[in-house]
Amino acid sequence: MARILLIDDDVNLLQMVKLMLERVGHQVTTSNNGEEGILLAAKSQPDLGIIDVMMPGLSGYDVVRQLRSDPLTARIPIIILTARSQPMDKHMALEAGANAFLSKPVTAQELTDRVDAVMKAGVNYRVHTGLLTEPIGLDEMEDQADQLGAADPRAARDPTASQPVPPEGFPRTHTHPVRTTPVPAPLSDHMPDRPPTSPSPPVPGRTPSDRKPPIGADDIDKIPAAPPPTTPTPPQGLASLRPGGRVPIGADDIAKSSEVAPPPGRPLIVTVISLRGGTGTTTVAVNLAALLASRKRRVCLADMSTSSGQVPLHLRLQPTKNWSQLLTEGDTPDAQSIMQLLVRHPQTGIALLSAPTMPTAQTLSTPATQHTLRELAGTFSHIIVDAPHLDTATVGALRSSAAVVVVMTDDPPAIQATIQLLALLPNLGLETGRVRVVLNHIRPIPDIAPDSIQRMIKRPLTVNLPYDSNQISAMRRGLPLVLVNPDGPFAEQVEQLARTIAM
Amino acid sequence: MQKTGRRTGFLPGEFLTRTYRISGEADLHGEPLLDQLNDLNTLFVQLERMYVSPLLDPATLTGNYEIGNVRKDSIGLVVLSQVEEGLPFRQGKYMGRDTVDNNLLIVAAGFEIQGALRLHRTVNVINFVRTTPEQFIPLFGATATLTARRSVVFKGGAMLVNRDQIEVFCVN
Repeated sequence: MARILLIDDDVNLLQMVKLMLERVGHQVTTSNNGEEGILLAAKSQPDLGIIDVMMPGLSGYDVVRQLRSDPLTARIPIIILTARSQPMDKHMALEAGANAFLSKPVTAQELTDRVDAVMKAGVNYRVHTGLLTEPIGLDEMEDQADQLGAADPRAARDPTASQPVPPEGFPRTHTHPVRTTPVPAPLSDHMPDRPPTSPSPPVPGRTPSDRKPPIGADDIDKIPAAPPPTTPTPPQGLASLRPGGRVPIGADDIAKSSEVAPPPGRPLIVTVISLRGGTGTTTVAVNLAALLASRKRRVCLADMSTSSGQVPLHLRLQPTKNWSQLLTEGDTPDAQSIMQLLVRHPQTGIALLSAPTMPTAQTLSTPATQHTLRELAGTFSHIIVDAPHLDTATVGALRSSAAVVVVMTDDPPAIQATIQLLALLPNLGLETGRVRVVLNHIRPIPDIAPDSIQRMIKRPLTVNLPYDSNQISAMRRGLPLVLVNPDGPFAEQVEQLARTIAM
Repeated sequence: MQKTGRRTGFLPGEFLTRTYRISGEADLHGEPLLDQLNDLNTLFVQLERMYVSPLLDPATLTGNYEIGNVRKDSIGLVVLSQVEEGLPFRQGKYMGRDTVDNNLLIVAAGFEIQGALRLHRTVNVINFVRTTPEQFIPLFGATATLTARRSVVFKGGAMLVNRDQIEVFCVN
């Protein structure tokens, strides 16, 4: 329950909106003009203000500006509710200091949803249509802090009040109350032990003297970098890709967090999978790999697609070699052969084991995949497998994996495919604790609510990846979105995914 | 689902003249706004809770009046947020079956307006705009950009364009 101040000159509307809000348990105070509303706000210190724009005397914009300029009322979240619903009106409202904008007429559901979203997000966030939230810009925050100084009583009570920190448990980009899973114990405990540098079993037709020495950590530097993309890409380092204010996570940060850092010498294999195409499996795999690579991890991304993998498209690579060249090597491909297939993405340092560019009916056998991943684990600290469907290679990857990330979207076919996959995984020896479910919003308009999805799949969603329209431009640049917009909500959710896998 | 924020019998809209943005609630007197605008027997349309902004600074409120009357032939266009607002919804020529959307660009009252004119498939859109006796015609899903200041853009589910103020119209 919240204390809400409602300011509107239309008395009938005041009563209607008051009833709507009281019905869901809020305590509403009303005022039919701006001057009285400002006095009431200072006196009653409401948790939220809902203000009309078109009022005689002081307009709604004037009221918002005055509330923001008074330290006593500056930190009251405000929703503008108006019949003027043109883009310039919304801009004006947000510029004046409002946190959200609603146009009349409004349904009770729209109103209560927006009220809940703004209350949860707090005064430092704007809530847009579709309940997307964004932090109010740092410049604006600093301006507000300058204006308020130390006189802000709320800031004095709550030292974090003026910082753009999302509220506890509140997803910054999607206000459906998704209960994210608590950070589990590091999954590296589940990592199947790597055979103690045992040589590969003999390959028919190959004598032991032909065997090349096992690949080592130094070999990663020998992986050829992919040729530069045909269109110029900014050749900056990762740090320069991150806009100001946030320093890239480095090795020092990893050392500080025992929860995040994997035990040394225990490579982590993660398979990202979906039984339905178009859910963004490759997007999740590429971004997860890029995030880890930006933390100075040695990352290999294995694209196990048989239908012309999409990873090179995301990274703007044109690999000439792919895993189909291992098909002739039986169940124990040679380590050196595997390494020669890798292509390094110059901007991130990810080593890519590419899929065939043309669709193929053949794929690696389960033992061959397990063997290949074991060999790669000798060189890389993290191996991310992009498995867009279920076949023998995917089964091998799943059996080798410490963690499985199931990617789904919010439409019924994807939910059905996820239910089936979750039922299947225990049969492959993957207990529930090793499986993470990611809801990926591939459309700007959500379909089925995350809460309903959780009920249907009978388990919590690990993260809720928001729709990000920058995805296409990121692909054009050949850079994963987590690097293009490292401070964005998408990157934040990928980071949370990495944290829950204890990477 | 029931919505609030609207008075029964009144329709909120943006009435754009060559100099002003006038937001107000039109008293419908029991008939659709389009019919009222096309009624040749009346010269003015009455608005309640009228708020005025200069067109070049359309988000700033410079005046408000409980009741105002706007001369219909000075209105360039009326912006309605929803498609069905203000239109003869069921029985009108712009609705119903067998209609097709004809995309138009209209230059009128200093605005460049893009939207779809929905007509029966047998009606020629050029002939219709040239010869219809009605003063206002509806464009659906329309966007109006002020030619003198292109940052001023209005969007609406429907815009009622004053045919008397059309300078150019093009069929896409």
